[in-house]
Amino acid sequence: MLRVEGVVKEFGGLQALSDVSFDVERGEIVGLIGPNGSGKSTLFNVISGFYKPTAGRVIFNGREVQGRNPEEIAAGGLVRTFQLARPFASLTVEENVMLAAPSPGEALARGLFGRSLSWERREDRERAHEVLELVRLWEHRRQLAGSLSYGQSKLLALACALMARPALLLLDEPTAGVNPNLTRIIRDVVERLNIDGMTFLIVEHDMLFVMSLCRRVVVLDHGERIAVGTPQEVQRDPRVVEAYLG
Amino acid sequence: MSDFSQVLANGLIAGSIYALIAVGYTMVYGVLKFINFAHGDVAMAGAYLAFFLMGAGITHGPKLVVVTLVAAAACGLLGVLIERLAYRPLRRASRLTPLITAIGVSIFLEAVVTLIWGAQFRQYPSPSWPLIDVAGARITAAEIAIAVVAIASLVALQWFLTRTPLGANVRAVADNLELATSLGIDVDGAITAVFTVGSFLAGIAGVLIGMEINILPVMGFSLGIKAFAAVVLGGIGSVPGAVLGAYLIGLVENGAAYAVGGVWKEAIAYGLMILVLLVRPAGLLGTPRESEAKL
Amino acid sequence: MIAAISSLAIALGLMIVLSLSLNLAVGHTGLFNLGHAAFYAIGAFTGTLLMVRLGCPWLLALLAGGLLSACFGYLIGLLTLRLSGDYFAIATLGLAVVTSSVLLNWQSLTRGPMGIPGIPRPSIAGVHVAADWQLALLVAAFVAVTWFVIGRLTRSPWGRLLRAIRDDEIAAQALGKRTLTMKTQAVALSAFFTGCAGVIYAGYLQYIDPTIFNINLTIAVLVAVIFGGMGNNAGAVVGATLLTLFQQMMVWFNVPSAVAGTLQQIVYSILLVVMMILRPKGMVSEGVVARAMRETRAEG
Repeated sequence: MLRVEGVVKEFGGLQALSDVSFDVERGEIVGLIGPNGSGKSTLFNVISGFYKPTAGRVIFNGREVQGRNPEEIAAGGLVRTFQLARPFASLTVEENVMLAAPSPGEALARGLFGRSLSWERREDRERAHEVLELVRLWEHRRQLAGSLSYGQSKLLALACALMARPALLLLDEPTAGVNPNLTRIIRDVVERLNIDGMTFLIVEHDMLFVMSLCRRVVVLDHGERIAVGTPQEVQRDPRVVEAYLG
Repeated sequence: MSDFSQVLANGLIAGSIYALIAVGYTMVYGVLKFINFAHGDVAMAGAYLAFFLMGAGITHGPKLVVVTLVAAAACGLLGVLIERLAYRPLRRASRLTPLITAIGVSIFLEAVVTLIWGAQFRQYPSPSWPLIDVAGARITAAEIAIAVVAIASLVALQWFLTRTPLGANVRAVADNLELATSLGIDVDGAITAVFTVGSFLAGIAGVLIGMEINILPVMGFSLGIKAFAAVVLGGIGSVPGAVLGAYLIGLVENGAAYAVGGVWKEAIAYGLMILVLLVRPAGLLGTPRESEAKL
Repeated sequence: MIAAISSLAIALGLMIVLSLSLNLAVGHTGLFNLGHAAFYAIGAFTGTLLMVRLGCPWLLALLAGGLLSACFGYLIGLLTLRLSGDYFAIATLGLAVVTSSVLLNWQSLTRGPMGIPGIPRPSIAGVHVAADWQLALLVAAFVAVTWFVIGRLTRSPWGRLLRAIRDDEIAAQALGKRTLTMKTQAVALSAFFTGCAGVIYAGYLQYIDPTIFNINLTIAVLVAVIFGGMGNNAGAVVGATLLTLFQQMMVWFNVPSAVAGTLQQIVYSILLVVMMILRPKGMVSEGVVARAMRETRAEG
């Protein structure tokens, strides 16, 4: 479903990514790990269109997407979250989620001429309810997103990403700074959605999380792919051990 | 050929003045990463301060030098005052909020000057400066003085930035604020220095302008935009870039005025700024503002 | 007496429309368009030239003024909205000055500083709106329409997305939203209402020249919008009202117009600086009414 081919990313003189390649098959949960500064977030930015790669290709569902606008890529079914959750602070939790729906009636013509009762579709409101229940935020739906705690805003980000019904979801450190309870919730959500058919590529530092969820893991170090395989294989790989310890 | 020399000379003289203002602009951007739109009005204030001091009939010679230094020093103080009152509370804010504040300060300065001296043109009491013919261009001795003073000031600035410890601090802060802070560098001191020096130079520019044209309170706005155009053209954050950009703006402005008429001078300078912003926001000598860094 | 009230009402109405439309770009979308006065000017000049040179009927001139302004806004948007917020602000500032310059110097079209006199009062379907009080009623109707349309738009999903873009454009892009298109639409709509207001203004003064539409006007409206609270339509109306009253006070106290202008500049600039430092989100916090409206929507 996703193929990353020979991706290189340079900033000025700095090589953040060198010749990174790997695949993500439909229905997989793939982990992306590596020490700090190994280029994981940079890679996410390249895949999702926020960075243009210096060289290499990113192929999603058979189409080349490298260098495309991030909104095009997202609208095409490849959605990513951010390490630091980015909710729309002045909108309510519910509004945040409704906004993420695939076709939320945001056209100008709709606003001008459409009947205001038909602005939001019933099925979207129902899905928003489902999604918010899933992440335990339904009671907070009227709260302004800016007033949520850190953990709650990460859940909200997850909810929005789900609402967008992506084919492939890139999660950037979904459990960073989140308490173990919420981590478990997030893990369960990911598993349930994967059973329903969603594909995941997850950047994580929490090894337990990665080991228990991911079928395969890709390891980066200093911008290079140094290992790929099952969590067990990767754990035993001497290069990986050295990267984390050395 | 003499038309060409004249335009060239006019362009270089205008460029010299713009350069003095542009370097202050670019230094503030370098350390604080925001556009100090009030800077042009500081120069305008300098022009009016000199006008006020000249009320005693001082026109040239050593007394003119004194007037210039006093006006420039006052501008330096003004710049620091503005920084303390209007910009320092906004250190943490996005780039946009301090820009709006700067626009407010700019208008405030213009209004105060208008209240005191009125909205009509004012003129320095000046003698008739001797006209000199240089390679077909007719320049007054005053204009030569302008160019000389401007260049001397720029050289002094370069010396300050590269040869003094305070200047080194300024460059460090401009390069990487977090690193400088963690190294224990006096960031506030560097910022104060930037505003003092930048505004001082702007004050000098103001006096030089007054020697060249009749002054108006609204000229601060126009100077601000042209200096900003110079800064963007040369590469925002780069002092040599600002100087280069300033001379380019001066030349293009005068060249275009010659071609299509002086009435379009302002529009052309502003148009150039917009063009640079759209086509190459990094300018000639700058590195692109990594918008990707927002992530 | 009636004349004084009428002229106050007209000034107030036009300022409200200017504020509501600027609020759409600045308040709801976070775009500091410092060229707002240019939209006013283009609408005014378009309508004027159509009526005076071509004898165009008023309603048509009104729409043409609004539409041409909107096109101008759209073009400016396409050019400058890729720039980050502060560069965008300065670019629009520059464009406003360029527009001013063009209007001033293209004398064959606009008669430059001499201006265009003899602009007729509006005439709709045979009814000649000649008296000031009649014009005041027309302005009131215009304000009502503007309030209704902008209110509707800002309550719609379209408006919600604008506010999301204001909060975090990158997050919006990550959800697949075409943010550049949205921002351009906001600016174009803002320009449309302002352009229409320009035509009405020209019909009221019955004379225009380019110097009327300057940066000070934009700053005044900006102050009203920021004071009223970014994205708060009712607040924008409050801001516009206070501003108009302030301007009128100077007329009532017989302050000479040159001094009045400078006094306004001082007040606006101080307000601007203070507001930015203390409460960049505005003075009038989102009213009880607005919050209640939101909760009813979420319910239904």
